[in-house]
Amino acid sequence: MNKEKISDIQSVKLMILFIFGSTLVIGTGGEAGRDAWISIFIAVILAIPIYLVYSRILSLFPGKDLFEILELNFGKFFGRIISLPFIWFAFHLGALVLRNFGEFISTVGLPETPKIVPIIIFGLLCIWGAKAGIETLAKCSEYFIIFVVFLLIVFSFLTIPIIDTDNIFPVLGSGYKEIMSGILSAFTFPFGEVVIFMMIFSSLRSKSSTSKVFISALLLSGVTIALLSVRNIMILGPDTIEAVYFPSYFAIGRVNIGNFLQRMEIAVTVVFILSGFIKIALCLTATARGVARVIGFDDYKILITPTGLLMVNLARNIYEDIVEMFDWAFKVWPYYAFPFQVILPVLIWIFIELKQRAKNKANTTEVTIDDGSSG
Amino acid sequence: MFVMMVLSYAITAFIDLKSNYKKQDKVKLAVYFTLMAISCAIGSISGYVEKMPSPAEPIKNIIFTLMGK
Repeated sequence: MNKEKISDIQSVKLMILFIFGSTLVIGTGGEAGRDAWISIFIAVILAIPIYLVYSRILSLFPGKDLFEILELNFGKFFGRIISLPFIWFAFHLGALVLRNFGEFISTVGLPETPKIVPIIIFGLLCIWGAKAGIETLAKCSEYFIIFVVFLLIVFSFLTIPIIDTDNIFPVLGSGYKEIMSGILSAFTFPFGEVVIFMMIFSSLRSKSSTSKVFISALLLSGVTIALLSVRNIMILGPDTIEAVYFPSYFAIGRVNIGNFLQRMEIAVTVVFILSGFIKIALCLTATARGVARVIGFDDYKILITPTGLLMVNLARNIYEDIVEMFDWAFKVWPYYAFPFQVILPVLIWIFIELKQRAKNKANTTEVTIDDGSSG
Repeated sequence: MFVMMVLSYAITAFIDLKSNYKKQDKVKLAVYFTLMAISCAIGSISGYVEKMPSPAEPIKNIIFTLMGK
């Protein structure tokens, strides 16, 4: 089914852009207020063991994706049943990011245009990207990441004159409950979402370094997101951050160098479009792969367009307005996503490890019996 | 609205399949057109119905019930 191959460095870049996705625009760990950056750092540390679980599952079966691994270990029927929640998660996540994009464009750029217009246009673009295949997306990510990193660095430097370092003090002043809540929020959005890569990482060219790919992408993107969170808090202050929907957009919007360099918030839009495109296209690829596996197709690409259009429909109908979207993202998503990102993968990993051990034990006993009988 | 929706789905399917329509087997095409028809139906109904049922509300209710909120 899968002949596409991508290198480790391309995978790291894809994963970084995937993690950036809508996070750089919406922000994460907001529950912790001025201590959001601490929540993000702790979430990164907590994500390491989970990423090791993901990579362990993949490295036990090189060249296979999660759906194939489930079929191999749980049998055809149960493997397909267990695949269903992962397919739903990928599909739902893609629709949510698409809706984030629609709300963002409607709020900051085109308030009079119906939300469905940017959603359809961006959805069709992502369908096109997903149909081009994972190799093309990986090559795109190599170029996109240059723009994203350049814009992030340049615009972070431009904000230095408007930074107020007093805004981050007192450190740990938000309270431990809020920080814990921020950690869960930052863990599930965006770091835990990387579970999607288990559904597409059969395309890795090198079979031995899955954990290196996961951990390098986590550290690079995690540190960047935490630093940008510090920057936003220092520019806007915790009260304004709570009041605005898109903190990075408003933080960069305050840049004004000598009344000449101003209205720079377009940079945030560019970063969102580039990383959002990669994220939605990967969610679409994962969904189509899963559906193809469940119904027994050898090629998933024929399913991308219908799945993508269903995703567009879900994105359109899932929330009534931006208030409901943010309410859901902060209050429901952490608890909803946790089973897909942690509980199910850990249970699958434990089952696979026990099965592998039993298999190894049986092989050792067989060899011993053979040796005994020949001796 | 309905005609517009059907036409846009037909055009999308035509552009999507024109290069490899003959290479695909019948089962794949049947699944493809079924999913497209479902998508087109949802899209058309959304144009007429003010508030379509969404999975967000039931998921929220289940989570809040489980969390005891």
